[in-house]
Amino acid sequence: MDKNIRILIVDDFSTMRRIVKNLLNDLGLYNTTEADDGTSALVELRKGPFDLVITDWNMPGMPGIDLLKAIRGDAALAKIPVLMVTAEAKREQIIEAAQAGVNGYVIKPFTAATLGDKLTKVFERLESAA
Amino acid sequence: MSSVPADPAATAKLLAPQDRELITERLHAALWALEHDDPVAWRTNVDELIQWRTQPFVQGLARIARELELALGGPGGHGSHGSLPDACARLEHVVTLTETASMRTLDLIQECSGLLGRMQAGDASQDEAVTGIRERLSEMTAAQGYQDLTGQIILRVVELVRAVQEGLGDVSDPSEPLKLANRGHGPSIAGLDAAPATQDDANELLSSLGI
Repeated sequence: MDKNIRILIVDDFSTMRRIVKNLLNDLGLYNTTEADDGTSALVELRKGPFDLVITDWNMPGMPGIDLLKAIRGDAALAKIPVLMVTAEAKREQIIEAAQAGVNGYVIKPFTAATLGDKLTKVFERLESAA
Repeated sequence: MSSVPADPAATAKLLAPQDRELITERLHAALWALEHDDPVAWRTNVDELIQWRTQPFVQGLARIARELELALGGPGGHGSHGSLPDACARLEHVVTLTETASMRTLDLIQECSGLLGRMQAGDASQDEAVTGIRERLSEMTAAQGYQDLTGQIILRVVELVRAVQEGLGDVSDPSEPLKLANRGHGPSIAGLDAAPATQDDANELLSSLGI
């Protein structure tokens, strides 16, 4: 995994943004930006190139599922991998995210090991698809 | 008409004797008024019947309202500072407190990580211990996610209480359901919600969908 990839962390809880950022740092990934809902995430995404989006589902304003759909619906952003990290754990929600084109789904509460594992899987799949 | 008990004994069981007498009297009077074109008497008797029929429901509602008021320290309660907005403010305060505590813990974890970084390389057992401590610090970081999970649950209750308050303020259309933002369900609570999917379930589901 390229350690210089630029990652956008989207969550309305500042604690969770910091947790994800620190865990990414522990994995040697330091190039991160934060947004607190889908709308502000889209503003960040359109400002500069990102290699990965890690987003919560349940947020005021634009929820993560709508952000995922907006990313997949925008030709300039459509190819960015999206990892959903969320407490939303209903089967139909996981299926909805999958159908909308999510690349990975981590259910809160999660361990550092699970997050690392899912990130590795997302990039392995992208590399094998390339 | 199977829901109406035809057996007079069964009907009697449902009604106290004085109620039975009152209803019979009112029904007879209402029928007489209808047959004799007396709209005022008809309405009076029918209204009496409706009032009798809805009394337990109204009494139940009044009791709930009184208990809610008492629980919140309203008139007749122990204090005068309680109210629905006050209850919401207290819950939001809990979210702020846990956020501060979580952030403080994350500060300390980062400081520990920095201190580990200043240690010079040692023998194999020391390096192994440092690696073990780093892994545990990462898990401590992830464990702080409780603040997000408890916060989501509390803020959802706050939203519900606010919706109830708005609902109480406008009783003109009681058929309208309480409005909650439709942005997700929040974390599942054991005993209240259906069992959530585990990470293993999610993995299985996603791999069955080719992800």
